[in-house]
Parts: sequence; structure tokens; C-alpha cells
Amino acid sequence: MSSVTDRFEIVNVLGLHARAATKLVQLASRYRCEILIGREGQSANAKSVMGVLLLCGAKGTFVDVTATGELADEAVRRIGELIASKFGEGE
Amino acid sequence: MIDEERSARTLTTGEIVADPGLGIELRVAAGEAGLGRTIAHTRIQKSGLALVGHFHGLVPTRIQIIGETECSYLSGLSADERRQAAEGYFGLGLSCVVVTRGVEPFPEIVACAEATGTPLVVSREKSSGTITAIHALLDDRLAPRTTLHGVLVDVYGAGLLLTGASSIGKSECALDLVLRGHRLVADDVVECDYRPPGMVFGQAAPLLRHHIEIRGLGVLNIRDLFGVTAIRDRKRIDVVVRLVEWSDDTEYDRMGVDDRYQQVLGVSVRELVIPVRPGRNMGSILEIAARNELLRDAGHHAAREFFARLEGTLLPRSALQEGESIVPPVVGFGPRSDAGPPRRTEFGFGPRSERSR
Repeated sequence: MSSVTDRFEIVNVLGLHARAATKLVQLASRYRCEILIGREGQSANAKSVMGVLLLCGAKGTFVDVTATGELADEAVRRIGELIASKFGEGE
Repeated sequence: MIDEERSARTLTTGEIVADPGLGIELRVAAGEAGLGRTIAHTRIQKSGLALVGHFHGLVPTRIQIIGETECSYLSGLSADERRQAAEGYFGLGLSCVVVTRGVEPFPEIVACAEATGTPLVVSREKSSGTITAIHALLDDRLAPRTTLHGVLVDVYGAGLLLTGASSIGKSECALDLVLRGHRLVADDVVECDYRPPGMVFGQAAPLLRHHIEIRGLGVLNIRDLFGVTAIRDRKRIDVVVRLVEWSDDTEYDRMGVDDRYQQVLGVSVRELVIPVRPGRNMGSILEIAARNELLRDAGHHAAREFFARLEGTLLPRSALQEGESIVPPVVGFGPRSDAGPPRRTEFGFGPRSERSR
């Protein structure tokens, strides 16, 4: 099974806070592939809100997104776009 | 099986001496320069023969204990002999030497420790108390750890780790169990650590403790909603329950005679694969799974006993060779424990002590 990994920088001021994490999880949940999001050796299931919140991804931190399975490359790309778009928050 | 002695993690001597979890007082008497040296073993070593010059088997990254016996040997030596013994001993690059019973170490020992930068630590406790405290601390701090995606619930004292794909309904199952009076340990992220002999414990990440996420309701605080009896901070994992989507093409276990195991931190934990389908009351099924687990623990295996009875009806005694059976052997269970992974520990099946729960 194909596995895709990419690294993204958290650029919004509030970081991976509750609303941002929810958006990320909602996006990840649309894909059937397994998606992991990790930071400094800690890893969480990108489809679990609690797990993503636990990463405490503040502004300026880097997260690694790894997807395995169906549409893995698209899933990673879309998550990257969401992070880069500051989760649609504008700051 | 995990090597219970040598750990993948390490601690520095300085971290151990300053750890508030130690519960005994340790005073650094000499060799502070070496407080950055590492301890990589969960068990101490008594220095004994090393002081006589027999260094075989001495591991520098284990904490060395100089107890009453060693002290009595040293006090029988002349100052010169003591210096000689100390020079050989401290020349081994030891990470930490602990003198027990609050004994003031001999000046030759202190000098050698200082010269070699070997941390020399004095404990006021007896050797036995010191060793117990150090072992408990090292077991905890050096325990192999991992994080699993799942939900851990204590059901009648059996630790069920619910796993399965996202949105299969793990948290909903846990909530159902809480409503039936059982206790939530961790939702979504379970931090697991290994404890000898052959046990894995799970707990919640501190930030998420007592919380559960239910789609449509959001994040709930179980402690606030149900009180202190509905939560538990830490629980040994007894069974992994893998929830899977019901598929008509898959054959599920219908007998319950064959055991499956899942490796968690090198420990074989029994695994149940339970298909989820509307109309199957998962709370009841998991409650029964826990009851059955307790029964197995007490030495009863319902499926085995049932099939043994069936065997007795189907075949006349004479048709069976001695020890032969139509029932597939159950790994690690009862007298037929000759094959496969041990069910929990090599110490077998006896009732588990309350403490290990």
C-alpha cells in the first residue's frame, strides 16, 4: 500500500487549537486511508480530535502528516493546504 | 518478550537522585562531576566481589550498592588495601555508587570517587529499603512505553482496550459501559507502559484525563457527569477488543475455543474481534466479554468445557487415545499449556492479586 508523508508548519496564531483541530479531523475523516499526524516523536490519529489536540501544535511548530492507503497523496495535500490556509481563520 | 533488565530508555544519575518519586533521601557525597552518567538498567547490582577485585559481570550502567556486608569487608582492610580496592573499583567508569544505612564512606572511597568523577551517594535507609525504592523508581521511569489509538475501560475489574477504525463506535461503547456503572480510563489516546512481569498498563494523557469525545455531543467530562466512581486513572490491559465493521464475507469466531493474541509492548494480550452491527448491543457484549475473562481467570473456560462435554457425548471413551482430543488445544489455558505464547506471564494462571490490577 502506498504511503505518503509530508511536513507542514503551523502558521496560524492560535496553532492547533480546538476549532482548527476539528477542521483537520473532519477533513481527514473524509478519506478512507489511515492518516497519522506527528510532532517530535508524538503521533496521533488524524481522525481523532483528542489525539490531534494532544499534539499541542503551537504556531511555528512542524507536523508530519503520513497517509497510507486509498487517495493517500490527495489526503496529505489537502491537509497541507488546510494548515497553510491558517484553517480558514485569516490570521 | 521485553528484556526486563536492559531498558531502551536511560536516566542520568542526577535525575534519579533528584527525583521526588524516589521516596528516600539520597545525598551526593562525592563525584558530582559524574551526575550526567547514565543508568540503563532497572535492576541494581550489589558490589560485593568487585571490591575484592573480581569485576566479572559488573555492569557500569547499573546502580551499584555498597551495603553492610561490603562495608564490613572494607573496614577489615588497612587504609592502603582500601585505597587499592577503591582504585580498581572506581576505575570501572561506574554510573552511580550508593552506600546504604547512612554510613559515612571511608576517606579512600570518597577520594577515589571524586578523582574518577563517579557519583557516590549515601542513603539513610537500609540496603533492602534503598533497593526497593530504587527498583520501583527505575521500573517506572525506564518502562517501555507506547501510545495506542483506542479506548480503555475497566469493566468489573477487567481492563478492556477497545480498538478499531475511527468512527466504529469505540467511545460510544465506552459511554454505554460507563452508564452501566463501569469506569473510563482513557478515550482516544491510551498511553501504555510495560511492567514486569509481562503486564501492560494504560492511562490517559494528562490533558485528556476523564474526558471523552462523542460525535454530536462534543467533549464530555465523565468525572463531572458521573462522579469519581465512573473514572479510573490507570488500569492493566487484560483484553484487546477489536471492533470491526460487520461484513457478511468474514467468518467470525463462533466457538470461542481458539485464542488470538495481540502484541502490546512485547506482551501477548488476548484479543477479541467483535463485529459491530446495528442491533447488536455492544455494551452487553463487552460486559459479558469481561465476565467471561474473569471466569477464565478463575480457571473456567466456558467454550472449552462445553466442547469437552460435546466430545464426551460424541465419542465413546475407548475411541479416544489417552490425551487425544477433538477440541483444538487452547493456548496457555489449563493443563494443555504446552504450546503458544503464555497467556499473561510465565507464572501461569493463578488468580491475579488485586495490586496488579
